[in-house]
Amino acid sequence: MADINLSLIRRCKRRDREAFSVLLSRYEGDLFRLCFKYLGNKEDALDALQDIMIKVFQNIGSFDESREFSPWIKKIAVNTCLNYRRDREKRWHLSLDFEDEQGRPLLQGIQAAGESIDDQVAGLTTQEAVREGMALLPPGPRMVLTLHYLQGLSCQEIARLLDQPLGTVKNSLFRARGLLKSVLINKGMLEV
Amino acid sequence: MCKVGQELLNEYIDGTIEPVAGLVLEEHLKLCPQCRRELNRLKIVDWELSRFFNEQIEIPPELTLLKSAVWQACASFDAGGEGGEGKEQKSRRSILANAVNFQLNVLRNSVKFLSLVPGLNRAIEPGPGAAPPKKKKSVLRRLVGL
Repeated sequence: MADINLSLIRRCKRRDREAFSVLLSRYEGDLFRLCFKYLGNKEDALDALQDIMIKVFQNIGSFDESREFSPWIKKIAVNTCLNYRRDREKRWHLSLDFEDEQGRPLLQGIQAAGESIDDQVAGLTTQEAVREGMALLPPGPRMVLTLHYLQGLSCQEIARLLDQPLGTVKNSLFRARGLLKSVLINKGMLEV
Repeated sequence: MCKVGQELLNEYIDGTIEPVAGLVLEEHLKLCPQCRRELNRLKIVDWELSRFFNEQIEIPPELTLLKSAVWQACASFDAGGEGGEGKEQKSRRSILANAVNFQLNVLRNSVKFLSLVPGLNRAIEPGPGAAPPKKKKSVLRRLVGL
């Protein structure tokens, strides 16, 4: 994210609609990608992005012009994503005992369709397994992974952004990789 | 896995390993198939993660609508906080406060003459700005000089 023109920020502080729109246009793509990759679906990503925009609007007045804008907006985005996930930690999971409209357990339904569970797993691509693994990660390591791979940030930069010690960030990154490795091994997708 | 920790292998694939540690690790990898296997697994995970995060994401067209909705919501919130309805509420509140103060002053002035009636001084409450009444010294304390 290239840093932004100061006059644009000043116009935003004066509640100039056009400036606000230009400012958001510069960042919305990156912010949406961050939300989407971290939260895992479009609806949640749009919801989180809306929260980010509102926070930017509400807090732009207190933005310190001697600092760079990009880390400021990124920090808002990261905190919003982390809080968004925390609020929705209790997610609804579809159990294999779940009954369909005919009162038949889902597991039976899959078998009736002529596909065994092994076939289902075999049909899963590595990328889908990574997506599944990402959803299983705790918020901290998932955010570190997102910032590292999506935004290309180094561990030092992530540590500054998250206000965490460098060791903690490195630990989160290595732990996240380790967890994903276990997911892929369990699915038989990491035979080396 | 042997004595080489996950941290060193992770730092190796990230390219953040200390140069000397890197050389030692490379020498170790030549002799240890277990660590080589672990390193290869980590490299695959790293590659899969790069692919996952670099896939093209289509920016949804709803974003433009979202931006405009946010602007409208925030602008109306702003108007509520500084002008518009808020201003009206403020002026209503000040009119009411003025009316109450006016009534209080009328009441205060209408009973002012009572202070001239002997024996009724104590019955009238002091005004809000008045200093608290001093405690009178008892006869005994005055005699003792305390």
